[in-house]
Amino acid sequence: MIPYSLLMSMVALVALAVGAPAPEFEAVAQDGRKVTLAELRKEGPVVLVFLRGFS
Amino acid sequence: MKKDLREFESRKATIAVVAPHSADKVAAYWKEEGLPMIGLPDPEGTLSERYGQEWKFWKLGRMPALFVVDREGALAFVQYGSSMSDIPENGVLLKVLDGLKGS
Repeated sequence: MIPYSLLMSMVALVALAVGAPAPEFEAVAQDGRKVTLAELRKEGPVVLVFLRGFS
Repeated sequence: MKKDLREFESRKATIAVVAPHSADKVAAYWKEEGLPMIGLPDPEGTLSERYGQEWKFWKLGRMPALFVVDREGALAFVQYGSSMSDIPENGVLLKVLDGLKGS
């Protein structure tokens, strides 16, 4: 088990802030097409929702 | 978010939902619900990790997180949920979109 304080510092290291560049990504969507953030934002702003969940 | 989709569309915003489930599960759910937004299966947590989505042992999972990326690729809004139900109201997001240049 990782100590809580260490875990929180790991989270803090990767947390993003307003104004920072959004990490680029390439992924396969639910319909099988390949999407990239760069392509999506050509159309306009992108709202990225990360669902809560169990994994 | 689904019910306010037109509001997002009128602002030319694309909504992409990152789900911690397998591609098959996400595809089936999207089809069943007729969801119009993009679904991105992320079972390995690659995207989740890249965006720093928080996870908690004692709550046994990932906390919700939400980002708005402007046309230039900068983050215009960031929210890391502190609980499973901590997600911003659509009105907050629409205001952020309204404040973006060129949108």
